[in-house]
Amino acid sequence: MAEPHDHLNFYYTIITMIQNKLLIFLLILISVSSLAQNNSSSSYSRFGIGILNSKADATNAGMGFAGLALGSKGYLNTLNSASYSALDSAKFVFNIQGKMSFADYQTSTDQQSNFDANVESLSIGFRAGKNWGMGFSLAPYSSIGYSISGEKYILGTMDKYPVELIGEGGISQLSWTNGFQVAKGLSLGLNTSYLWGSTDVIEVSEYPAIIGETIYNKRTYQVSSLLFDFGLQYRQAIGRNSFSIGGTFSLSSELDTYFEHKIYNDYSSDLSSSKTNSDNLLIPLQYQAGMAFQTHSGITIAGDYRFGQWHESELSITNGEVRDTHGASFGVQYASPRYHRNFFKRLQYRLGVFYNQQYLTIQGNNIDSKGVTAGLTIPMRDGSRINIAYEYDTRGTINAGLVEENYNTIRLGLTFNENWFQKRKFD
Amino acid sequence: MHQLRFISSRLFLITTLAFLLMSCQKGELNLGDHVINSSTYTTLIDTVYIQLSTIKEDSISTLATSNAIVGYFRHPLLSGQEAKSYFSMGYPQNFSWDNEKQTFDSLVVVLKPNGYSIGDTTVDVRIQMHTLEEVLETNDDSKLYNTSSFKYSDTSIASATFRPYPNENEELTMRIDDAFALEIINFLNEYENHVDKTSLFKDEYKGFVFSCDTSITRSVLGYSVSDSSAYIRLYSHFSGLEKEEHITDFSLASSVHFNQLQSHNKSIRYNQIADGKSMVKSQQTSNKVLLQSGSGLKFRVDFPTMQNLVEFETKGHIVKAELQLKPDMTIMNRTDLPSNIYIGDIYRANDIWGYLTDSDSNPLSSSLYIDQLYHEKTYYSFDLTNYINSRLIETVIDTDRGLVITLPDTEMGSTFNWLAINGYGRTTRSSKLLLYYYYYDTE
Repeated sequence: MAEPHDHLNFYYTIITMIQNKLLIFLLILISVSSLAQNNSSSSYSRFGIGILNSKADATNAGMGFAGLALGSKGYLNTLNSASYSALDSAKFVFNIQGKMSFADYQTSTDQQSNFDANVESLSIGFRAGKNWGMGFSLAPYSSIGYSISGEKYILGTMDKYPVELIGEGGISQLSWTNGFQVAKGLSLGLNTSYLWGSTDVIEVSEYPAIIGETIYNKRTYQVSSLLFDFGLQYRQAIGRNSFSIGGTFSLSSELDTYFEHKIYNDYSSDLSSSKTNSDNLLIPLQYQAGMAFQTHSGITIAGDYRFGQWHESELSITNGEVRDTHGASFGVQYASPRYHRNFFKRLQYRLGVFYNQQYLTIQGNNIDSKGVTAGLTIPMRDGSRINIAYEYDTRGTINAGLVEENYNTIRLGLTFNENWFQKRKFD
Repeated sequence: MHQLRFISSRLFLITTLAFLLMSCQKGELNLGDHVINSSTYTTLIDTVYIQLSTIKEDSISTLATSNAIVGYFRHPLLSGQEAKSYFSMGYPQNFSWDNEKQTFDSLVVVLKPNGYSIGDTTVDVRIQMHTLEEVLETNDDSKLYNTSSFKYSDTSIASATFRPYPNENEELTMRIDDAFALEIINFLNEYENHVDKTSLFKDEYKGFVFSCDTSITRSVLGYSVSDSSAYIRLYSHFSGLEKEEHITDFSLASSVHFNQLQSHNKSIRYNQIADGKSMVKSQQTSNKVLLQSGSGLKFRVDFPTMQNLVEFETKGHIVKAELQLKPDMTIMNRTDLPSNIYIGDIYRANDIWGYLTDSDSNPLSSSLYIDQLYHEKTYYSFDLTNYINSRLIETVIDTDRGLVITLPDTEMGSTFNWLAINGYGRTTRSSKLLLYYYYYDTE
């Protein structure tokens, strides 16, 4: 047990930390405003609650998003709350991560490309007590972003009119993460998250051929909920190497949904406007399990499996159905255990593959995504790291008038490992 | 110190990253028509019942229109229509007469065509000028109408028979009877120094009417009325060593002028409309309605089923309402079609409230579409989107309220321009109201 003055010392440290890092927190605020946008561009994000985002740090993203069994050493393994128990007692870890996506969309008749960039996540982690790591993070849980233009017939005529569907929004996740080492090699974790978000879906109907009024049909969904997920990690040394397993389990959670429907044009006040508490959506039970093998020579091999019971979610999918999802990730990493003068020998290298099922099928077509990844970490002298991950990802199909989406994504994460706690001792 | 440097270096990194990534671009994905699935749709409804009825303005002011029309023609629906133009004569400002040296040559009336004509211009017209037997004066309301008339003498003082070429702009000059001319000269001489010479002149020379011989004339011609285009000119000369020409003008434009416009055949239904409050439904007139400037014919468009349409607004919106008025091209020629017609609000007893306006408060104007080949798609179009949508949100739909179609006011008193429009519910070429209806699902 810690002595009372240790506690005081701890809080004093926190206060100093806040004063010194005020600027960084201001930047966090700026970033939060951009995070709230949950930018993405996928035609599939118009179904259900959008495209689910992985919480993975750029470090894990380089290994095909695998790493449930890995500890938070030098970075924050946001995949598993139990990993926070492995945080260095002297460090305060702060991570900011952004991503850039170059997308290429293919339909049976057309081809288009797009570019997206935004701040993806912010997280902090520190040692809150003996065997206890704590952290906070802000990241998108799901994202909705599309702008689709098409045409519809004026019923009973040969004339068409252009219709544009625009969706923007998604669900953000603010998490409070706690990881505890309960026995030698065994850690448990709890992630308490607040999910909230607002999504605007606008259908714009225009009538240039008949010089008619333009009609905006806007639906706004606001959701919020608490989400709990539990984590576990067990690590066993095998000679100079180690083997570990990990898993997370997320309880199903009902999203309180508030719905506003507004129809308007350029001339008059709203043609129709209604606000209701609509049927709540359900984020279903989900679990993941993974294992990792780490050699003394710096090689890490990790593999994960994911499951989501989405058929329980009662999402309604136009022309489609919800289904349970399975997914898997596999990745390898090489990080030299020794310090090298040669810059390239100091770097950490990663490769990975992944496969994810989206929670929907459309007109009988399973919407899956699969991809390959590569990653790199540049360690800085003070323990901070620059993480870069590249991902090539293909999603969907061109069947049934759907879109095959190919993404080239680069993630850039800056992880600051600061010796705040240690510094107090020299004051 | 170390701390500060530490912050500033990271500050730079983070800000760069944050601002780089906050700038986000999005493209638009064009998926064609087969992918857009939504609960809304747009449909066309072209079976809304509309009632067209001909109405007639009691009287049209034809005073001082700057245009005189004279002639007679046979209208395909209204039969014989005649126009007479009345003028008063102004006192000459520069008149002087020397009985010893000055000799009368001639008195002529000059009228300059304004290019307007209707009827058959391939046959001769015969225009006659008569003196009035009543002083040409305005009514108590200071106006004169298409229905006004003044007594005139049976014998004409001037006439001309000619083949009209209204576009050639050649002046019509008619020599006035010499006896009448000498009478004027004597009168002016006699009263030259009288204080009341102007009013005495006016009492003596009450005015003129230009009419036509309806037995041969088959067209109505237009003349412009201004000091330079409508006048009576007295030619004389001074005898001396050399002959010296002298001219005196009598203005026809400076005082009262109006057109009398008549339809002769009272057995025709349109010509029987008694007053401004009456209306003749298109069903009573071969499912047609008629618009004519000179005779004051206009027509109403009513929406007897407007109440039914209110239900539309609860689950949708009319994104476009178009009124298509189709001319009867079996009796009209392409060149007869007025280029512009107007639309206004009309109420019970044909009480006209004013012109309709668009969303920018400009008077709503028609668009004329011409189908050169078969006239199947020849029609006047009005955008009634604002009108219909505002009618549908009225608390009580008043079916006495309708629309009136008229010709421009400027043409009213000085042309016989016309337009025959097909009614609703004919087998072909019906006028109709098109509603483009956007349905939305409020679930």
